[in-house]
Amino acid sequence: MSDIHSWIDAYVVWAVAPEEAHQFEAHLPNCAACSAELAELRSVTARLSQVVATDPPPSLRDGILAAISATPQESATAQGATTDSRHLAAVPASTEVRVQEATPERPDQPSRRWSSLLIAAAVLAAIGFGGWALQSRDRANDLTAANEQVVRQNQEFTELLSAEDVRAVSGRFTEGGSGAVVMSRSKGKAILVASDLPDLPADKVYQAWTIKGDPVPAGLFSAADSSSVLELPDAAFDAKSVAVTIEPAGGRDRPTSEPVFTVSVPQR
Amino acid sequence: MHSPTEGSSLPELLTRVSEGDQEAFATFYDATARSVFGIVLSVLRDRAQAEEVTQEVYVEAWRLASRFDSRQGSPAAWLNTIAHRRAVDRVRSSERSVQRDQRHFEVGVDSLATDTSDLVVAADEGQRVRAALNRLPEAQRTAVRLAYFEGRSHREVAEFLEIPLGTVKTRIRDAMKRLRQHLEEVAP
Ligand SMILES: [Zn+2]
Repeated sequence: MSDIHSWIDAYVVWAVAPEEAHQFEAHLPNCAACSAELAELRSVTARLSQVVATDPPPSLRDGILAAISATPQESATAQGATTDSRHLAAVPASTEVRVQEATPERPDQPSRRWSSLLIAAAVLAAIGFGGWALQSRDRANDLTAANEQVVRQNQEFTELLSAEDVRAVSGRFTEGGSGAVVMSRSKGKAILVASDLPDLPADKVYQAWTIKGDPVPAGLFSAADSSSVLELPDAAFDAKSVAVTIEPAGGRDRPTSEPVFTVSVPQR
Repeated sequence: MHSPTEGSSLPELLTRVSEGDQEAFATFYDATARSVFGIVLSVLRDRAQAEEVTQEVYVEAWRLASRFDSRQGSPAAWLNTIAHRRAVDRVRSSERSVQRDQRHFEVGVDSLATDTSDLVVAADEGQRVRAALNRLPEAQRTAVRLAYFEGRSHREVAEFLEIPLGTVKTRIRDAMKRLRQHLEEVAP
């Protein structure tokens, strides 16, 4: 714990426990020395693997080439969502509303986009959003229809997360679970992501609201196995906050109960 | 049509892979598969599972090729990181790590590393690296073997060797430092 820089060797040989990997990955973006050293150490481990080099069977090559020809590729825009970000669950879920802001730098510098992406990704990871994990852990060679939908959905997230002006804010549901609003004004896209929500009785539903004065209905959703994702209406961009209540099935025009979740909408 | 891919460098190939070039991917596979399959097999010790994981690794590389960032290292290092992690994660998730048979224990690096002559100028990269490994003190080589080649966590290594966790970390750290020096001397 004392000297996190010194974890780098155990990290690079992947001998760390998952929590330690998360902690180290949270440290990485803030430490140029470790980032540079990591690149060097990875070239060492890559060379180590040469020692055990083994010819794979020719059938494997055929199988892999067939598999990739049926696998869509992700766009280049999602830099930062490399292997490391699978483990980006480094940022502890805050019990309070947090507005995350990218550091103000010139927009032509990639680092700004990088940092807002990382922050947004970290917020999603902190609430347990399983999108990327789901995608990367799934057997990529059995692309079922469900998987394809996940891939498509993830591509949309990736696009949203890679917007230069992406903002994210997370909070907790009072009944359990956590959620985040992620939005990009330039992409005109805002989503509410919620994880680990308790199931509701069949006659109840979660209803989102955008609030600027009176609450305006912003969509219905239910607890999902992984994460529930709701695309928010454009009103979200002008709203002061986004809230969620539990309403009778079908939803209501105005809230009939106290919010179980409220976050301030990230400002420009 | 595609231009020929033979003779292209890995970064060039990966750029073309990120543009959806399947022929470039095949060449990229041919250039890297022995090392990827080797490390995955080294960790998993089961050919069927190693084939599965190797396939996952390459499908991931195909999917995420556009996200490769040369500032974070070479394509080989990037691919190797994916491969090693996936193999280790597979072992840990199946909890076979605790049951892995000690019979297999000596099958790894040391059985290959019997050549103690560290002055051998090896023609082959694998031999060069093996020579660098051989120059490590025994305790450090064992730590690298258990952690990297067999994918054990440092806690498992500590239990296995019956030494404190801090000692394991130090050995891995010292070993990586020395390996780096040794490998720089024999850079390909
Ligand atoms: Zn550091």
